[in-house]
Amino acid sequence: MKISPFLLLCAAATLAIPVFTHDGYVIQLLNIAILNAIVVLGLNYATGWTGQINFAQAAFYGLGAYTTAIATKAGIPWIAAPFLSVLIVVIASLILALPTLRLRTHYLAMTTIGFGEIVRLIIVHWEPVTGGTSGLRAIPGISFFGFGPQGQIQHYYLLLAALAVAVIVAVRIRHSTLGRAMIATKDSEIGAEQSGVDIVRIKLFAFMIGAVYAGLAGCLYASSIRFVSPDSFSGTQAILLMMMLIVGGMGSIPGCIVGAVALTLLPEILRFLGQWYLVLYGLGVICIIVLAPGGLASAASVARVRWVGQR
Amino acid sequence: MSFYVPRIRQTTQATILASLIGLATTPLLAAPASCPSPIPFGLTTALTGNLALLGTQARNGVEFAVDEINKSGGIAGKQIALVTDDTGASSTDALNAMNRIVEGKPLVIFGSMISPHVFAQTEIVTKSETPFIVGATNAKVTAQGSKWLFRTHAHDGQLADLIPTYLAKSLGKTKPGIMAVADDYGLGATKGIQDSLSKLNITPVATTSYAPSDKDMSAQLLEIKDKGADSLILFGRPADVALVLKQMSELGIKLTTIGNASMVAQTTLNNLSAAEADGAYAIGGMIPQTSTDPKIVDWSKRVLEKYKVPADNFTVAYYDSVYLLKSIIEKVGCDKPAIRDVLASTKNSQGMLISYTADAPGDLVHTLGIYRNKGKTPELVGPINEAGY
Repeated sequence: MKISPFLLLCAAATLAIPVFTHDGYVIQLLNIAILNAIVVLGLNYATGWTGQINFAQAAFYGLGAYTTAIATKAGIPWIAAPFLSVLIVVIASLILALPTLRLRTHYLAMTTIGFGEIVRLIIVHWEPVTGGTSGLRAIPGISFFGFGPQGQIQHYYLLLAALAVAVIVAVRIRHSTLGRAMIATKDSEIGAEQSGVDIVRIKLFAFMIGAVYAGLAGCLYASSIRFVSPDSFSGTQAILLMMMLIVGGMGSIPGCIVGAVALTLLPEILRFLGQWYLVLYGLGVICIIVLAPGGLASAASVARVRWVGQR
Repeated sequence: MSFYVPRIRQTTQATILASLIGLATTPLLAAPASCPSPIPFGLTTALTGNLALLGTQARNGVEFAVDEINKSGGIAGKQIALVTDDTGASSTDALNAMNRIVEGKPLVIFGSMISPHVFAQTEIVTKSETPFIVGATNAKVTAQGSKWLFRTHAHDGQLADLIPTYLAKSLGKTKPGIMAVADDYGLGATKGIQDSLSKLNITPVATTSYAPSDKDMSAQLLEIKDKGADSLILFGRPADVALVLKQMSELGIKLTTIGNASMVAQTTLNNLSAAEADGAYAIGGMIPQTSTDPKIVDWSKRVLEKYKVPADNFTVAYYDSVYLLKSIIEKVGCDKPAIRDVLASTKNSQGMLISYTADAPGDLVHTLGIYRNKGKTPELVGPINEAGY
């Protein structure tokens, strides 16, 4: 695979950020942006590539986070937490995906919203285990046999490595038969089926791998933020994740990252506007959707086409 | 070699020693000189999202006090610079906001009354070793073991003890139904109320809850009525408490109703008719509306003029907190551990409506008010103290 110089430049700049700033606030914000990027990359499998509207991604994110929090607080070594988180979200994704395979468009969307709400209510009301609405505190940090990142900068590099792995897996899948089958399912389920694609298997796979991304991100979230509460995985968060995907560019891997980073950082950048920041934030999102319907990832190509057209 | 020291020299040595001790402690006594100018204060609270109605009361209380202090010359001639950050409605955003505030190295930080936000923020504030003053109502907030965290508002553990006791012993009701908002505040209180009722050998006839966004609570109300309740314990936010009282009136359900301070909050009463509000009881943090003290009446009027929102129990708590800090900084200067130590040893510090005394976990409020609505006007039945105070 050929790596463009622009991509290399972006990677180098990303790696160099902590050299230029040790501001804990900035690094923490970037850490959350990276986690969001992993979750959005997961959402891209079902929604961006397979065309299944999925508002349950925040619930999978929460399940991953809570599994890690509960397991590590119970004394289970951290190294087991990612596996446990993956196991739980895979089971949950099967519970959601199997009965809803025949649902499409807004019917599927409503079902996934319902699933998210069920997960939230379980978390809120199963207080002895989940801490209820107060959440869980003092969650043990990431630890590989006694060694773990210390401080936000070390967490930043670890999360960046996790994002890199998530991107590589996504790129590999996108260019495989599986990836092409996903795109075919999105374009036309009947057409894909006629071409020999097992669309049931493809949809299940898309939901499951998306959930695995969210579960792993949730695991890293719980161990790096060290606090989880239901409001971080609510319906609002599900909508925000979908917005990140749309603004970044559905189906585009760089778009997922750009969308997640942009919508995580934008509210913070606009904080100087006080309570008015939400107005500008909303306007910014509308402008992106109207001017670049393919998301930020397509903005460069749209601009280039317009520029060439003007000439 | 002689070890004889004339008495006069001993006296001189003692004087020198005393002078040295005096010199060493002089910076403490002349404390405000050690303060930066301006003195940085930080505040994180919910200014947007579904918790904004509550969160702005913290902003109003802190900001109003800071403006007053700055106009009257600041703290020992130094102005206070207040930086406020919005937490929105999510704990992750609350953590981001706190990271931003902590990076500004404020002398003290005020947190909001939203407990999950405070839970998320406590670790980072504790690490920064900055006094952290909150109004968060979950009883567990001060049980986190942070020696930097203090609460200047009543908590739901106190309410959970006092409401059932008052209902049973003073109002003579023994068959209550419970209805609470299904969030950190309501569910936490419900558990406490159930425990307190069981200590009084009372079993609630029904325990119900509603989601924070629910608009129709008639099913829960009818369940409570049908199970033969003689009273209703209601825990919620002002907007939904108003809805419950309105729907009780529409359904013709007449029960002695007692709840948290939302029952008498001006924002609740603004949405009710006199008949709907009449007779409801509340126990909670002290509200300024019932006071006849001209100074407090004038203060409430000025707050309303400035923010177009009536002051409530939270506004009072945050306002008092700023003045409490002012008096502490005037005593010990801008040394964070010293401020923390004085906060932890606060005793009978008079605020606007109550006095503040710190206990071991860091709670400073032990006096609450019992209120009853007469039409749309809340009346103070009397103060009530937490057991042991």
